Amino acid sequence: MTAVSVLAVGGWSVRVHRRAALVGGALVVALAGAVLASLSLGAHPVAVSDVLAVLVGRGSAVDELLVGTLRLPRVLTAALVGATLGLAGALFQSVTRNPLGSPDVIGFDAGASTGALVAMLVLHGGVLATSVGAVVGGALTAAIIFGLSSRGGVAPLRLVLVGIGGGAILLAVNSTLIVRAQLYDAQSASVWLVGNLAGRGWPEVAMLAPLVAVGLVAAAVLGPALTLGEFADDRSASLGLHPGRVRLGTIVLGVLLASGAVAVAGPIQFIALAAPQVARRLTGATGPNAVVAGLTGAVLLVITDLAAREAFQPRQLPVGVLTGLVGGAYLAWLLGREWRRGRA
Amino acid sequence: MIDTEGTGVGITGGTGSERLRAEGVSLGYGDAPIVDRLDLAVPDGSFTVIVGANGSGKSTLLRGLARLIEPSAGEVLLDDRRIHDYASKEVARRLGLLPQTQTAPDAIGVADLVARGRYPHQSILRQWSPADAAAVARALELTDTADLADRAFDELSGGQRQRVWLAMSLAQQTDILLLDEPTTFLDIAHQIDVLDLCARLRLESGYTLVAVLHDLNLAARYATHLVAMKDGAIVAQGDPLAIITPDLVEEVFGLACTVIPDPESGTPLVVPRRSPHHGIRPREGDTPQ
Repeated sequence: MTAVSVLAVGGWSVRVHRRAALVGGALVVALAGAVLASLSLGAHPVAVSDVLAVLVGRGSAVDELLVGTLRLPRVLTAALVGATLGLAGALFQSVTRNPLGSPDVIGFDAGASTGALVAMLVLHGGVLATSVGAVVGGALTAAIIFGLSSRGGVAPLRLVLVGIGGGAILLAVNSTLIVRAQLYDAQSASVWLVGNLAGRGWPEVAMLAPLVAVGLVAAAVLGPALTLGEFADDRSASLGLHPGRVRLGTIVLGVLLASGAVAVAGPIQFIALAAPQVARRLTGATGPNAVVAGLTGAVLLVITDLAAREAFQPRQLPVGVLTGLVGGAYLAWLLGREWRRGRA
Repeated sequence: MIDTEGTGVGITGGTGSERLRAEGVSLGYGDAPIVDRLDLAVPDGSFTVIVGANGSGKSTLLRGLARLIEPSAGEVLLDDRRIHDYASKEVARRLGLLPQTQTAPDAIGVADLVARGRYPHQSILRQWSPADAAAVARALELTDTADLADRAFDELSGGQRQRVWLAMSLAQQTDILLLDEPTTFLDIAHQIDVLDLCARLRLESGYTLVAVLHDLNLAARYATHLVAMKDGAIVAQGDPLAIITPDLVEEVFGLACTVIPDPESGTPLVVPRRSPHHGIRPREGDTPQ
């Protein structure tokens, strides 16, 4: 019990993994730093002191426009999308007991994209319809994959395999939708499919903030049950858990989070896959590490979006291009490692 | 090896007051029951061992007793109440299970793993208490794994792992512990090691143990109450000394054998007969010179 502290007040007691708490605090600081950097850097740099002045409502009109109106909503959206993806990834990887079980690998992001593309290209809906389409698509995909991999209970590995297969089919569906669309529509849909944060603003922040809050609280509360769920079902059931119920509830929450992120920013790759793994290595704690994974995702996406925005000036890259590049290499490494360990 | 319970009283073969009983229970996956209308009373304070051929339903029976499968007929009673009527954590405070196959979360430490056995005693607002710490320390001590507490579980040998899994079950602090083939993946020395530990738990800590074992001779040596199963039904039960005969082994396992007293423990020792078709004959090159 050397790694764990117990906070006890009256009859209540909470176990806190000390290194995880320290890492969490450090990540909050890092996130604040990354947000400040992203608000400050750019084609028109704004000094950090001026950024802070804007944040407390005392900036000049120019700084107010650059920082408050143009950069702040996008940076906050990046942080929230990153947190959502990190949380969703941690929940899925815990439920599937597999680092490959993240929503961008096992078809949930692809399904949410299908929903969004149908709303965009077939129903010719606007931004709101696209978002609703993404959430509906993600939920439908989850129901189908969950149903197909269920045989008197969902076996985690079967969920991953069915999900990877289903994801491949959905990617083909997505391509078909784009190929059959009008040229202009197809182009904007293609840009959306890469995953992008350009032009995102306060409505997106307002949509994701409550989702992230609910996700963080639920993940923290469910922590002990989720960790117990990573044992074999017979063991967790004999300790009083309902492994099936925990799995279903976690997947519902995870799908909601993943679809919400896709609805706002398109299917940004890699964050959901990598953030939980980075978080686990940082904390050294067992279990989903969901809160730390959410913070890690936020930091990763704010930094990546800053790079996508500023590193290739005068052009901007969609952030999904960068995460895709890094994520592809990471996925190959992960597959190789899992292969050697005989799990994939 | 004294059989403390009466022989053949009532339909369950017990007195009807045992804490864990199966009454007319049918268990299975899907439609066909593997265990068919079976009665069993686990004598309190016994080391009950269930033996039988592959597919005889012994593991299914154990899973039914552990509440992992719901009976299609009959009922499993724990402290005179249907086991499925309890809240699941309530069952987990009275009855533990050491499953046959296990998986541990990635990179978990031994002390952390054992501490997860306290789950049924905890809640969201009461995640850790001095009683939890004491139970974990006691479990580590009983299983002789205290010196492994700070190690990563992945690094342990098979024998050490099984001890740690057992410690997790002991941290649960139940009176009844079910063990599904606890020796399967262990070499002979570690099999004895685990079974000695179980015998000690019964004698010194008052556990009631129910184990499924493959090795009939080990079962005969350690069981205080032996249950022989065939085709989902109990063929014989009682003191191993009284029930293990060549006829029973022939009936349950289809194996012709001689039964002699184990020179070490005096319990029955089953020695298979040579098969007339595949008998071991010295080859010509092996004849002594």
